[in-house]
Amino acid sequence: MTSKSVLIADDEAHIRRVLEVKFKKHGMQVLMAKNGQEALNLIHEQRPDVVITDINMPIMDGQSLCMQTNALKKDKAFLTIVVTARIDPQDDIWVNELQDTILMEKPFSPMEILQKIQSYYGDTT
Amino acid sequence: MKGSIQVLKTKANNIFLILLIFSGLFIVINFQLRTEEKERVQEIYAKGNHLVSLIALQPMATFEKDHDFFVRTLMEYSTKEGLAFCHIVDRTGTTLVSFMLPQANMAINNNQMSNPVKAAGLAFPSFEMTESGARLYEFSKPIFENGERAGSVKIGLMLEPLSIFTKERISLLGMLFFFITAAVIIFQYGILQAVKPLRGTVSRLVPKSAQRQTKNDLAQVFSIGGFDGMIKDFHMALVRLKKQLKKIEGNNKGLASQVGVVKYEKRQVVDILNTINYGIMIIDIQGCVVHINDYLLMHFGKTRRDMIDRPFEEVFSSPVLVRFISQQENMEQSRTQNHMELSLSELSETDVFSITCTSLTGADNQSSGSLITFNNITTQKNAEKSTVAFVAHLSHELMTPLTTIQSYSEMLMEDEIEDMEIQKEFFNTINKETKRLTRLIKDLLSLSRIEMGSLTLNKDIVKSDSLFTDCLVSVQGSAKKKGIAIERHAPDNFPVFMGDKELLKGAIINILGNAVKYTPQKGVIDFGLRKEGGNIMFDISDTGYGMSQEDLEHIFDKFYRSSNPKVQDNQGTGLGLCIASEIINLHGGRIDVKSELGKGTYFIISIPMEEYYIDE
Repeated sequence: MTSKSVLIADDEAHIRRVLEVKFKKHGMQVLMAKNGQEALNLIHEQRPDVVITDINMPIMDGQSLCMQTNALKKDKAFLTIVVTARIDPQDDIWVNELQDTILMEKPFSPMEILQKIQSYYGDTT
Repeated sequence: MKGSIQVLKTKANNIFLILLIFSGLFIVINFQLRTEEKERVQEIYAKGNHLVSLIALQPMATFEKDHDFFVRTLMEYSTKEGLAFCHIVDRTGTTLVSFMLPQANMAINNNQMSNPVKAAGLAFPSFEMTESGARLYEFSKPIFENGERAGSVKIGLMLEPLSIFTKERISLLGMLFFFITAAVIIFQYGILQAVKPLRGTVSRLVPKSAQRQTKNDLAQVFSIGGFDGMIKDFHMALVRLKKQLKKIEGNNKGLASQVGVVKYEKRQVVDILNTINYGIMIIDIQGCVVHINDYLLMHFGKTRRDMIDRPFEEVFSSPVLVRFISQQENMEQSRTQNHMELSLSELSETDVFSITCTSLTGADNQSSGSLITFNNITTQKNAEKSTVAFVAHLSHELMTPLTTIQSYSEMLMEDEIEDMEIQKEFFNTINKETKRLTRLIKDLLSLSRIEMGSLTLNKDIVKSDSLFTDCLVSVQGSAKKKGIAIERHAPDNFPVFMGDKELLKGAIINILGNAVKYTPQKGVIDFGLRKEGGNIMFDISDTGYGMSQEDLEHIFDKFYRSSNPKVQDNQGTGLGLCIASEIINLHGGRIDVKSELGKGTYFIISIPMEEYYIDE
């Protein structure tokens, strides 16, 4: 896979860490944010290829982040993976309305996330 | 003697009948004349108004140019429709047309004729024409041309006096005479016929011997033949009726007491409906309110009089509710009690009501209206909302360490980590997260036991020195790591009190542990114990990050965690303080807290010291 950049937005340090190790191992560039606001700034600055975000985050939550970055996909499409431990049917609704956005429930497997990214970019390596 | 009285009586009867017929005739004729006169006057007013308006609409030039033609037309009208005069003047008062029947001239004085008509609107004076007895009605109207007043017209219409003896009236009188005579005769005959059955009734009611006896008595008293038997029968019948009346009155008393019982029971039912903590409204088949209980009236803020008989759609503006009620009324056969949940602005801005509608049927199984109940379920709804929020939060709290454990172990199992250091880090994280999960589950269990009321205090004598030291020891390790100094403030004589030492230790360690967690390196914590009144007090103050006002309001709420990033950096379940405060509450004590952002926090735990006895 050509070097893709991934932004991981989660207030839980352990989750950021495990995904960081996984993606770096597979040759990706990793950006990390502790909340939605940090993630939003990084997306504007770095334009990553993939955004992985939690919903429950301080300062700015994952839903607001996705809503605010959806328009950017018109210029250059990128994949957004929303991970959540919440069991709220409303999440399915707003996620489905957004471009190139998928919802994954916690607990997730890092391998599964990697496979989603690979299938989005048509790379099976 | 008897015969001459009979003749006199018949004569008197006949005179009375004739008088009756004539007075009837007089009344009818009088009424007829009045009505006819009224109609004639109304007709002449309509005619006069029409004619004067018609003339006033003509251009002024017509009266000068076609003067002769105009007068001729008026003459024709005068013979046909009774026009007595017509007087048209221009603005200056110059007469343009003046036409008058000679008899009319007699009725109106010359002064009035020569004066210009000053009518601003319509005026209708009328004059009696002394010779013929006819009345003259006068109509006037201003004439406008090009938006300005150009002159005025005044006409008079004559109304001939009403004659009683016209041909039609004579034939009408004949008919009336015949009908009234016939009516009077039939009336007299009718009375006799109507009275006849009473004789039979009386003879049935009164025994024969008594009838004879009474007949004689009455004949002696009144000495009148003919009607005497009838009067006597009436008397007996009245006696019998009086007896029956007494009997009925007795029955009525019984019924009245039964009505009293029913009324009392009704009042009781109404009282019950009024004391119920439910809104109850009954509407009739037309959809109007027939009953409303006090609970609903209180919510409406209106009196019963304001509500009764008002249509339901007028009482509630919510179309959803009106539709629901009409649907339920249509489904009356099923008698199912569906309900809907709704906020009604008429009752309360914020409350939610569960509304049911049941069809009411009478003895003949016909619908007689609907019973609508309103149950305030706001508390229940709020509880449901907070349960949903709690479950959502709980799942998040449980899933986070689980996700870490699962993803870290997956990485290790799939040999994704070659670096030994990272492997070690991952194992450590799994271990820490497992502990975190365990702590969370333990906290949840404690909280659930407290909330279910199943947590009982294992009270015993607590030596405060031992409790104080145990708490201190448990946090000293982590304080030392951060270079935080803990200063002790304890009395020489430690008091002894009653309590559950293990639970109290958990609560104090939680607060003391928070002080260590949220105080930066090289900070200072004061941990004190003192006795004040009947209470034992633990003081825990730190030089930590402090809390905002919003944090202070919520620190004892379940799962509340401050949004302060410095607090977020530290792990916590958000349940510790909630459990600690519940434990202190169970001991009858309280926790007070003061805090200032950037300066530090001060917790005071006070526990009442119960009396205790030492078994010898």
